[in-house]
Amino acid sequence: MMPRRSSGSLQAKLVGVVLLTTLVALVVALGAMIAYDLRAYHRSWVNDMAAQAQLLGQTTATALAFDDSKVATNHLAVLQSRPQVRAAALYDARGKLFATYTAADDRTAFPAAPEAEGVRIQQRELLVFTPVFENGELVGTVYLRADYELYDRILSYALIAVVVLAVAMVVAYLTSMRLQRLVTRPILSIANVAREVVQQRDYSRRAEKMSDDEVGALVESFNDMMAETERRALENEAALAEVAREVSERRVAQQEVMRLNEQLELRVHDRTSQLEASNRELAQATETAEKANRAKSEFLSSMSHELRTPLNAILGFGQLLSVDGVTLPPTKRAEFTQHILKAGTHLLNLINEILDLAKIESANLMLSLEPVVVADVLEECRSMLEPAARQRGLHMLFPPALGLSVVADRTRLKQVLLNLLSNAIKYNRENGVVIVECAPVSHDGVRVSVRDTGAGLRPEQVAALFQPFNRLGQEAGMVEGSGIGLVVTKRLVELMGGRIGVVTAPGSGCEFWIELKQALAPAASAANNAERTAPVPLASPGLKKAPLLLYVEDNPANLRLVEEIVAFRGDLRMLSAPDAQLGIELARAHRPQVILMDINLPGLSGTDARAILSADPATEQIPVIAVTANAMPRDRAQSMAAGFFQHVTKPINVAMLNAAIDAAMTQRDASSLH
Amino acid sequence: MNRRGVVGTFWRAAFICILWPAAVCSAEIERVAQEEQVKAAYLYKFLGFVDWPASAFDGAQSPFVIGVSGTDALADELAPMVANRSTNGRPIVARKISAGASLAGVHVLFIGRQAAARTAALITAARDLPILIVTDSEEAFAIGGAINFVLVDNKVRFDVSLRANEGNGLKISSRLLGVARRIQGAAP
Repeated sequence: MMPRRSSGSLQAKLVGVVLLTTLVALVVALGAMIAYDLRAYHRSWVNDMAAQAQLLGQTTATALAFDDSKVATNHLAVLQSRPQVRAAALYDARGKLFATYTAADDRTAFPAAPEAEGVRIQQRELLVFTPVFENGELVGTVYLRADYELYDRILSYALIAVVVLAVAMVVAYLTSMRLQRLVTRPILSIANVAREVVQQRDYSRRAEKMSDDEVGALVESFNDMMAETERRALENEAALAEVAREVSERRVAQQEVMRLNEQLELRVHDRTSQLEASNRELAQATETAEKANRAKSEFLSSMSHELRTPLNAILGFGQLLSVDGVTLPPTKRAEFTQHILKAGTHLLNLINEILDLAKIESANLMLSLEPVVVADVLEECRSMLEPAARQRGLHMLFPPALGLSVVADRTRLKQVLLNLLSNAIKYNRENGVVIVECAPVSHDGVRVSVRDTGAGLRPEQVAALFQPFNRLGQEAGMVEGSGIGLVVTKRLVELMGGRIGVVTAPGSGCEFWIELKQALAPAASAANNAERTAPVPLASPGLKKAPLLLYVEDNPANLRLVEEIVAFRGDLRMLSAPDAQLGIELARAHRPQVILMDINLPGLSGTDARAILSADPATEQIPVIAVTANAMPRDRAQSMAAGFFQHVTKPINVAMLNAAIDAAMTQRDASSLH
Repeated sequence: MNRRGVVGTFWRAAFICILWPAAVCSAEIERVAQEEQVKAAYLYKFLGFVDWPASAFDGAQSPFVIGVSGTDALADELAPMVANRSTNGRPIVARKISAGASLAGVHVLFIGRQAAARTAALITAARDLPILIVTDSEEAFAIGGAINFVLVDNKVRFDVSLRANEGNGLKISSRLLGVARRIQGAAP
């Protein structure tokens, strides 16, 4: 059970204890004194009055005996000297009132008859009845009535006691207020120190020892405790510092981790955005590929149409000319022939362009970049196109020869310029002008621009201008064209490391320009160039010891084409086989210097045949060139992996085929020398 | 003489009764009887206030003797009154003193009015004896009585003469003197 917690300060408690003690002591002492005094008063007064009555009895006994009330009255009058006695009386033996005495101011009546002997207290008065004997005989009774001041005394004492108590309490309070400091000051000093320790966390504080009593012992114990606490506090501080250090280290480590995380997030974000970008590019590429695919399909259908149109003219007029029994007038024949030739030319151009584009698309186009004098090429183009321009009444203005030369493939540059110029002629108005300019741009470029005075192009037309397989001017209908000329042109320019562009507005004509890298070394003259590009000297035809070429091909048309090409070379003999089996036998039998092998053969494929040939020691040295319509780069890679010497795609490029054959024979010669 | 005195008093009372209305008459008779009774009682009470010399008694237990002369009525009242009483340890005897009788052994001698003729003789005979002489008249008191009854306001009082007991060894208590009406022979 917890002791009841008392409030108030120690000082108040001490003062309270002193005051309470004083009060109790005083009350007990005063009470005892007053009680004793009252008792003494009571006894002495009662005894006094009893004695007085006795004395009166003795002095008045004679008077009673001899019936002398006068004498008795005189005796009673002695009581005047006792003012406390209010009245007195004598009764004779028969109980009759014999003599009386009354204090001056008393009016109380006497009892009618004497009462029993004794002392009584009645209404703050003392009544005494004492019998009087004379010579052993009752002669009468003395009656005394006196003040009984006990209650007055009690009142007085109470008043005195209150005053004494008050004075004593005040004195005790003042004294204890002074004396309690002896006790409380050391204790309060400890309390102050303890409070300061708690508030300021200063465990080095010590209480001052002021006495050698129990409080002194308490101070010593407190100081010992404080020393212990200080030691513990120091230990705790050290431990806390250690913990704080660890915490800060951990925080630093955590911050490092967070920083790394942020970096990681940043990197992830970067990678994500890169991925998104590449996804977008992929999607774009996919879209572009799909678009190109669609365009390719459309192109194929339109190309079919374009190819049939001139063929229709050729075949139609041809039939008219070959009708038996009909004799046409010479003018008519000439006209028909003109139509056939014109359509044939157109068809030829068309096929050439398609081939070019195909070569470009399949990355088979070989360029020989070299310094080319622009003015020379322009001059060639001018001589070629002058007739067409004149036919339409156009003026062609060419720049003066400045001697500028560019890094380009001469043939392809000429093709590019011809395309641009012919477009300028084709899409110009009647009697318009074609202006060609050539000037250096930036620090190492040369710009050649071709401006016409035609209808110009709308922005959407410009946007679609260089898209592959997009035909321009189709809606016009009046101009013939494959619609792929500009596409080929653009590809060629880009292959030569240049740029192409157009500046146009509806109604103000078009200006097509190309920029090519300027050649720093002076270009060779046109004459030199012509020499260098001269064809390889032809071998004498019909040479018996000429190298042998074997061509394995099931398509007669292709076989015929290659026969013509070989015949045109004139330095080769040729064998042919319609399938792989026969081809292998021929190869074993004749040991050709080079073999051309179709891949898609009936029965045994060209690839398998090649494997068989390489497995045979007799034929393993013979280089085998794949000649196939499988023109994709993947196909080429497969062929090379399968051990083919080279991969030549159909339609056959004569120059490429010749180059491949030459390379194969050179390799063959080199290996045979070993 | 004693009888005559008493009778005389009685007759006087009776004579008054004859002259006065009946009520007054009976009251007078009553008063006279009471007076005799009171005097008898006083005689007895005097014993306590007077010191006698030891020679006055035969022994320690010897009684007080109260001699009454000149009134039989008083003697008759006194005899039963003192019959069972004692003072200072001594019994009390009441004795009628007839003419010529010896006063030896008497401590108190009451001389009534009817013994007026013998008063002088009685006083003379008793004077040198340790006898308290109580008289009932001024004349007798003047001859040599120590205590004399007087009637004051119908109450029995008494005078004391200190000279009467000079030489006979009696001492009257001052307390008795305190209630006496008059004291003769006191020092001035």
